[in-house]
Amino acid sequence: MLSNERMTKIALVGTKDLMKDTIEVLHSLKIIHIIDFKEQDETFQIGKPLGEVSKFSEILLSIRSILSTFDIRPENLKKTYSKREVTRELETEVLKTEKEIKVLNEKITKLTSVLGQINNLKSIGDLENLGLEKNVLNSFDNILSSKSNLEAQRKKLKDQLDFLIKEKSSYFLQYEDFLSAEIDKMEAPLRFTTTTNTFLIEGWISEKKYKPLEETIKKRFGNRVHLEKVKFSDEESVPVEFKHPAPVKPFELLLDLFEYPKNREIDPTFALFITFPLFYGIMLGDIGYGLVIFISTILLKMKLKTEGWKMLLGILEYSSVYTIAFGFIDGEFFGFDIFNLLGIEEILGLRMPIIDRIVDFMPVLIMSISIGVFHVLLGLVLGFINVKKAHGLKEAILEKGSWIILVVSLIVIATSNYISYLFMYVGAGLLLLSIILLVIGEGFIGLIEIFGIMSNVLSYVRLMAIGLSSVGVAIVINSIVMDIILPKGGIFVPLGYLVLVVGHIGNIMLGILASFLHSLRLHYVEFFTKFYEGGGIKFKPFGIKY
Amino acid sequence: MGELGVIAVILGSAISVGVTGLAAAWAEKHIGSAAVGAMAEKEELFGKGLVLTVIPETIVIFGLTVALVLLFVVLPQVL
Repeated sequence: MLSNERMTKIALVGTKDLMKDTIEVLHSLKIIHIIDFKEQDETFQIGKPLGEVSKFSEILLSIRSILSTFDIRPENLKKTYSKREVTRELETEVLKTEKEIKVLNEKITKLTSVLGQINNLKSIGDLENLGLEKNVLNSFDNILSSKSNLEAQRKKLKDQLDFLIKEKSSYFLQYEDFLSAEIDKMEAPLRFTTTTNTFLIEGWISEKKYKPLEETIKKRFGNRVHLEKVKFSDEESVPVEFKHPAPVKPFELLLDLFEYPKNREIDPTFALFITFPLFYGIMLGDIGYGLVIFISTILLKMKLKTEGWKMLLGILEYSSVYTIAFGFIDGEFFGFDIFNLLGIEEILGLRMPIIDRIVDFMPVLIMSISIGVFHVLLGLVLGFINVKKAHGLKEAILEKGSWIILVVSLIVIATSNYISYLFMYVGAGLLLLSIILLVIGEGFIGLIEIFGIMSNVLSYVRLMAIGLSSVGVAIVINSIVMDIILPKGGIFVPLGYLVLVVGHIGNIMLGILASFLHSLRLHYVEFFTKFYEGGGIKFKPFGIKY
Repeated sequence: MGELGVIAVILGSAISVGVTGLAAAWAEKHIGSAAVGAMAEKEELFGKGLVLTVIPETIVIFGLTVALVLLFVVLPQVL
């Protein structure tokens, strides 16, 4: 779960007459990440595109403009034809419809502009007082009365256009799909190395899929196209293909915003899956707000179906569940002290609310800092594993082990007050050991970084502070409405409820954003800096649309 | 001490929230405009820009913590 698909580098060599077929095969397999060839010289050059790409691109562009103007989404795609047999028919159909749409659109724009002019005339109007001849006035009136006629005409054309688009949208989508794939294939040689008579494709493939590829190539081309594994160094940027289970998948987005892990580096997505929503929940912690976010993510999920939105909403969904859970612990419902108001004193033998964040802020503060200590420690342990994998045990102990011992010694010293004063000596010993290791590992300059670790840990105070400010605003809204506006009665009652709703909507928006950003920041700045290098690239198999 | 102490504690907590808030805002203003500029050049920098922009918020969080400690821990002792 913590590592990604293993990749190997491959090279495919063949004569140019087989290039088109090879591209076709690779495009249908969708398993190779092609490395773009860049360093040209006299013998090795990038290939030339197959066929007239520019013509196709032009058509594609106009189709895409239609798709976006009329907001045609892939969801309404109905596969009426299988792709292969129909290309010609589909093409003529699409081009014909495209023309019709253009003509209709032109007519509508013209009518609209004429109608606008007539409206202008009307406002200028009022010629009667000028004492003009009657037939002049009549013809003027005629123009004005033709307005409704024109409007009806425009409506008819619009309906026609809507009908046409509804009818043909699936063709458009299908053709767009087909064309972009076709252009992809035609432009593929631009990424290859070619000589006068041969081509070379370099790329990455996951180790598991190498055998099937070898077999396919053998079956299709015999010995005429040669495939082999190529050695690669760890410095090369190996593309990363995640293999996370579905629940963890949304959190890949957070790496997408940051950087992808390098090859063989620990993949932090799973850690994000556990701690990100937890921190979010601790900060927001309100049953009502959690429910609002939960319901709105579920509703939005039905509407927004692109990959990125799905991931973001997935993250928010998990976070809202944690928010509700911590809402129960804090006993907050839209800022109201819910258990007090309902007269519930205990559930399952626990005094409710378990923690009142506003009154007992000291325990929450200490909890936040201890969460910080453990989170930083987790980051250091992951860093230890990373360094050990890359440079061996000795380096790992000097570089990360010293910090781990330092943090542990601080924990021991901090708990000595509560457990036993002997811990003080143990802690001091460990502290000394860690400082010695630190000086060996990084020199005296390393000592300065101790303050860095301290500020990292203290930064987790925001788990308390952000939550407190969000509750504070909620309470202020509630008390303004309940204690000041509502008692006035009369017109103030609906006004009070308006203030309540608008205020809480604003606070929820702020809460969603602030909790998200600060949870993210804790991971990026405090957690990732302890172990994460990043700089990997995404695995983009040839043949899949992006 | 008495009244003067109470005034000092309350004033201190007000200053610690107010001034750190201003400081954070000032820092974020600069980072934010730089981040938007960078994003105009390269859109992938959105994530990094967003995170960099909220980094100075730590200042005001520390300020808030100090204020809370002053109000809830120090103030009762002065009273």
